[in-house]
Amino acid sequence: MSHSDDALLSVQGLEVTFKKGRHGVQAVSGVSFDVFEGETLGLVGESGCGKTTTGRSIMQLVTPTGGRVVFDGQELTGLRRKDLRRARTGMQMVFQDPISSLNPRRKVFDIVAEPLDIWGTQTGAQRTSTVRTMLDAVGLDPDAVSDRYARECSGGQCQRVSIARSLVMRPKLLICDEIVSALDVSVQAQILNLLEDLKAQYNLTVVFIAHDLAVVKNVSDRVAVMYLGRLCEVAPADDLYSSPAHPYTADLLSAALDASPISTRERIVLTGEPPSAIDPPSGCRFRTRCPSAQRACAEGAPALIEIAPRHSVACHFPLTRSGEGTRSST
Amino acid sequence: MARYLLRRFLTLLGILFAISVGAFLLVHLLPGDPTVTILGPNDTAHNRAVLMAQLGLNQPLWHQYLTWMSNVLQGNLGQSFVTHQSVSSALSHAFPIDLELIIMSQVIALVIAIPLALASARRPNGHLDRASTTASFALLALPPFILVVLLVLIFSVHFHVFPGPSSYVPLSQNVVSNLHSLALPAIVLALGSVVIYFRVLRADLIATLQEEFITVARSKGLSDRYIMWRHALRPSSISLLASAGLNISSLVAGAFVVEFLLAIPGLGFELVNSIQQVDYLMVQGIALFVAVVVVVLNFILDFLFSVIDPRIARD
Amino acid sequence: MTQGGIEVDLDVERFPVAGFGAAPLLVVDDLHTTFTTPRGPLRAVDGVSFSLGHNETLGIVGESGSGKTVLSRSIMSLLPRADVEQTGSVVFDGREMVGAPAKELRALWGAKIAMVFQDPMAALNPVVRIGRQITESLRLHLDLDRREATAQALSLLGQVGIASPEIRIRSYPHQLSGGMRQRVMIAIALACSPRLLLADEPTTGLDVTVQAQILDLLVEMQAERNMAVILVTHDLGVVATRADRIAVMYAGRIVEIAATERIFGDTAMPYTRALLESTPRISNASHTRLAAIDGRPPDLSVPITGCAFSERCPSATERCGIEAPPLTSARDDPTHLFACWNPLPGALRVRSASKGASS
Ligand SMILES: Nc1ncnc2c1ncn2[C@@H]1O[C@H](COP(=O)(O)OP(=O)(O)OP(=O)(O)O)[C@@H](O)[C@H]1O
Ligand SMILES: Nc1ncnc2c1ncn2[C@@H]1O[C@H](COP(=O)(O)OP(=O)(O)O)[C@@H](O)[C@H]1O
Ligand code: SF4
Ligand code: SF4
Ligand SMILES: [Mg+2]
Ligand SMILES: [Mg+2]
Repeated sequence: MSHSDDALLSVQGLEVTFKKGRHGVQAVSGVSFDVFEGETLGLVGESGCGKTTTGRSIMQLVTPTGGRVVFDGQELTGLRRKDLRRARTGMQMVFQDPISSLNPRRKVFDIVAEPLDIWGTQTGAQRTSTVRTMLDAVGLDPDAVSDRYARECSGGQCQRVSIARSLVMRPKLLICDEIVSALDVSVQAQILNLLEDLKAQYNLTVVFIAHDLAVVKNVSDRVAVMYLGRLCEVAPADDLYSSPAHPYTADLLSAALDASPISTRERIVLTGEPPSAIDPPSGCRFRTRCPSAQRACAEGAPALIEIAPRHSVACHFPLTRSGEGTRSST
Repeated sequence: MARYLLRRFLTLLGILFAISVGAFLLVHLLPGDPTVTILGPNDTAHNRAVLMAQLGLNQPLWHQYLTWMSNVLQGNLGQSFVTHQSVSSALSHAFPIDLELIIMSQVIALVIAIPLALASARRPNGHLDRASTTASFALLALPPFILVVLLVLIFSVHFHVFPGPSSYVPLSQNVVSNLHSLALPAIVLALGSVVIYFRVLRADLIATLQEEFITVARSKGLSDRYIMWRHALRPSSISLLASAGLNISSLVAGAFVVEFLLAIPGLGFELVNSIQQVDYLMVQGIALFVAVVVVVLNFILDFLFSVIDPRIARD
Repeated sequence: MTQGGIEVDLDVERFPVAGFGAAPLLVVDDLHTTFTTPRGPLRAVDGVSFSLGHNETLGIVGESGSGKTVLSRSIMSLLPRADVEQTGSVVFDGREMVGAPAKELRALWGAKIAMVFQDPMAALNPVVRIGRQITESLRLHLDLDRREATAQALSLLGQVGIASPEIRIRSYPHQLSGGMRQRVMIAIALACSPRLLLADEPTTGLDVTVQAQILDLLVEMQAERNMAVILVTHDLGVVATRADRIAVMYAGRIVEIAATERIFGDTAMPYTRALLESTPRISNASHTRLAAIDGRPPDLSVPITGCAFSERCPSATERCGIEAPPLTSARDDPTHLFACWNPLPGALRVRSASKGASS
């Protein structure tokens, strides 16, 4: 994928290898995508496919072993600590476990104010008013929660606090890693709606990592599907869900459970689990579970190519719209 | 697993080296003329010369260490200048007694502590639990030297159930009398360990019984007794093992005290005698030996961790 | 509907079993489970009644803390007896479970009633090999010897889709993946061919693909073995295509119970509809606004007056805050029960609403 100049975030050929004993785990290998200003890019895939690692290496919380991350025109890879810290204020990450990602012994107000204190950008009355505005924006009553400890908050409230903290520095980019996975449906809906509102209000660009396909579709403009450290398919959300071109995307969609008793979808349930990232299959990594796999798939890894406007797929034999139309229609 | 053990083994070698250096320096860095320190000011010149040669005192320190070490590795710990007995033969006579005493005490301790902890943990704050917790507090307040006096007074002097002091019978002579003669000291030592093992195991068991897999075991219809022994005990034994490791040193110390008080010719008895007679080489030999045994025991316990919990040895 | 030949005194109106013939396998009547907590009694299950046919799959859905887990454990009488008070009745296969002697219960547990637990990592004993965890109930209930039990365990592992069972039977839980662990859990539960399987969130926390595999496995095993299943979940998607009936729980009570199509199509309870509408769906376009329910479920240690949902309910009226609505049946379908003073107008409105959302 070519790098566009108007992308707020551009990830190019990202590689992350973890050492694990004698082996190396290729958590991310050759992932490239752009995220444009004001858009939400969803990142889906099975657990262990490298979603979190991708998110963390965008933040440079994990040092990529290869590739480039360009944020707001600045290359982050190889930046010195001090410059990196400054660049990182423009992007923030919110994590899955709402309760353990907050210090239980600190008060909500101080948790939200922490980034301001670290940077010393705001003090006194200005600091107080920023924090209160932020708490209010995430749907918490500043008077009621400011003096509470994080451990006294429910899961949903903790997640709101995390979001408030991530927004006080007014970042341009928000990386959300499974932020609703641990929450109940009703609270999940509250948080997803909140995210949409905040995005509009603060002109945020969002990378939304999750494994729940329905949730990802709900919040994303474009969706990227990952499998075993590689991108399979990137397309506008509605496109991707209505006409998946990658066999893996089609299978994921077919396995997804929809809260509706009438399902006309043809179900192709993937058997088994993804192979180990320590020793991934040659060629296309999906070939061991792919219903359309052929000889060529074992030989060369398919490149991510654009098959329709804004719709890219990494497969030697992508599904065609006409042939696979029934696969995902409900 | 093999890598894990290898790593632990290398650590063990390092510790053993440090211990040997310590024991070596114990004698060789004594202030003043070592022959005077060791033999006292009134010994003959001949003896001094023999000692000088034996210790190789005119050599550089590292050389002395190597010589000494190679002797030690060959089982030669020198000869006592007081009793003229070789140190290693003294050790080989005394050590089995300690070993037997400690094993006996630990068997007694576990046989009491495990069932008691299992029964108490089933009903925390129940009658049995309260009684045994209170009793364990009381025992905690009694150090071995008081306990031994107490038990001797009660069981030897008053009830004549066990023999009194100075009545040790070697194992080779009569097995039953031997066990009988060691029973009281073993019980004294066991009581100290029981308190620790009971409390540690009980706490862990109570935590384990909250685990979901216990509910699962119950949902299979298994009996409470089976669940306690087969599902709860093993995952709760990690702290027990850890405390056994920490307990080794105080156990050895306790054994020495008890041996001395009851005149049982084990290492403790020998050690005290040697100290009284300023028998440096003997002291050095015993110190080195005991330290090595404690370290090796800890190494074995460490290995047992991975046997009890298969997750530990993961690479 | 007729329900002849049952020993238990049964009020047909209150225990309809949709289309499942004769006597129910399980009848739960006014079950209460109360925990004694420092803050006072906590009514985790507060008067639940329902019945279950021999081959039926009942889905129980509800938010976290609504009492699903406590209910499923209460049905089995599996809760520890200290600090828990259980009243009401649970009749399984003609036998009363509430207050039954432990020995009688143990004979049923694992043999006739089995449970699949939510988190398989926590549910499997970390220091016991998979094999023993399966064989122990076989040896206990079916009186098999070690060899027979092992052979049976191998075949069970194969049936639940574990590759190379001979190797896996000697593994410890941490050596398996999450999906494999849940398969093992299912093999354990199915070992003695129980009549009733209680599955408490059996797929929560698993990947979509694995989730589908596990649910399909459960359905397949149910068909093969002729057993009743209670499938507890917070995800309507899990039960939508797999349950015959669905019970919706809120604050320790069943607030609506009906055949699956009716729950989705003719929703009567405002809470059920709120739950449905706050669930994101793949069939909806991206950026579809979710109808989130404001607020949180009530604190169960504070006595609730009126309808427990009244503070969050868009249809609430004055009466809702004062008087608790009883579980009553729909006029056109006696098996559709709901507890609401102002039920939704039913079929027409809800159908058109869901059509509107997807357009
Ligand atoms: N042992 C206990 N002691 C006291 N209260 C308890 C206990 N177990 C559960 N509860 C309370 O009972 C209520 C119902 O809990 P339960 O676990 O059944 O909810 P659930 O519907 O299964 O939720 P989830 O979806 O989170 O699993 C909650 O308020 C919970 O806090
Ligand atoms: N710190 C780490 N050390 C070693 N391996 C890791 C580490 N973090 C992640 N991995 C491995 O990298 C792969 C991708 O992990 P992750 O990015 O967390 O996946 P996801 O978020 O998609 O579930 C997995 O195989 C995981 O085991
Ligand atoms: S490249 Fe081949 S194996 Fe890979 S997804 Fe496409 S068809 Fe399947
Ligand atoms: S009884 Fe009232 S508050 Fe309760 S669900 Fe019905 S309308 Fe809402
Ligand atoms: Mg992750
Ligand atoms: Mg639960």
